[in-house]
Amino acid sequence: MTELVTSNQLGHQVTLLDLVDRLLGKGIVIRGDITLALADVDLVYISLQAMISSVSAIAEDQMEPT
Amino acid sequence: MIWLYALTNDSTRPLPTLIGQDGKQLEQTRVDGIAAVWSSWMQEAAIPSDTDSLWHQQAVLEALMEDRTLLPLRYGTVLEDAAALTAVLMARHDEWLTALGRVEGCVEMAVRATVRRCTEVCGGPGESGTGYLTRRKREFEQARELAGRIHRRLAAISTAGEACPGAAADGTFTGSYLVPRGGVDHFGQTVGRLAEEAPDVALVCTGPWPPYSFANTACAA
Repeated sequence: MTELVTSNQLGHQVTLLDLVDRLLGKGIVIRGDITLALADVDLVYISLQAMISSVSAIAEDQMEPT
Repeated sequence: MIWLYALTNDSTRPLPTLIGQDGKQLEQTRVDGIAAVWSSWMQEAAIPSDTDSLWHQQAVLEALMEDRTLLPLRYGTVLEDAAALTAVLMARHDEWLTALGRVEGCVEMAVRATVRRCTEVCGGPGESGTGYLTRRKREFEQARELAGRIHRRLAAISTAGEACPGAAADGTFTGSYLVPRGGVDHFGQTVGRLAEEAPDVALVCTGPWPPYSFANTACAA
């Protein structure tokens, strides 16, 4: 997945974050009682969010004129 | 048990040869013009939570998306058996047929924007409390205005758009857009132009995705 329109060294992580956002937070729910205990995913998700929150700092570095 | 991937309105084409989550063949259950794609799932409890499994789910959806309209099911959706699935498909048939019609021929594009902070430039050690609050208020308003501008531009070239500008307070914005397949390149070019017009924003666009963000809203009606 992933035609990154705007290239960015965080592109892959952003894509994974977008994937987790969608797979676990969206999509049709058939039964209301589905609760997923995906501890590993939660950890990945939290670390990704932390990483992405620093996207602006890294993007700034990238945008520095060389 | 069966593991579900997606609903589709096209039940006549052969399924992709890709295997499912448990290494089993993909199968589909059809009910009057709609179908649900699934594979056998032996495990009773543990839903795999490694990123490879998440990517595999995505790979199955992408393969399906190549030649049919689909609505993804929430990751980890399992049912007892095909008979239980048939019952659900019959119960919600009309709702899902309509929902599939809404996303027909479309894919989802995701946009994430982060406004560059100017903390180091604007907020030196000598900044007063009032100065700080005034600056933060200004930054918040600028971010909100910018998020609105990005969303309006992208929504104008989309079939539907869903934005979360509420997150703009911390300088980020996320949006999901339902775009006709033929409009993906144009959408990407528009994001590129927005990025050029707003050099103080880091814009990242991913996709095309299956229409995850439009599955529930489409079904809400």
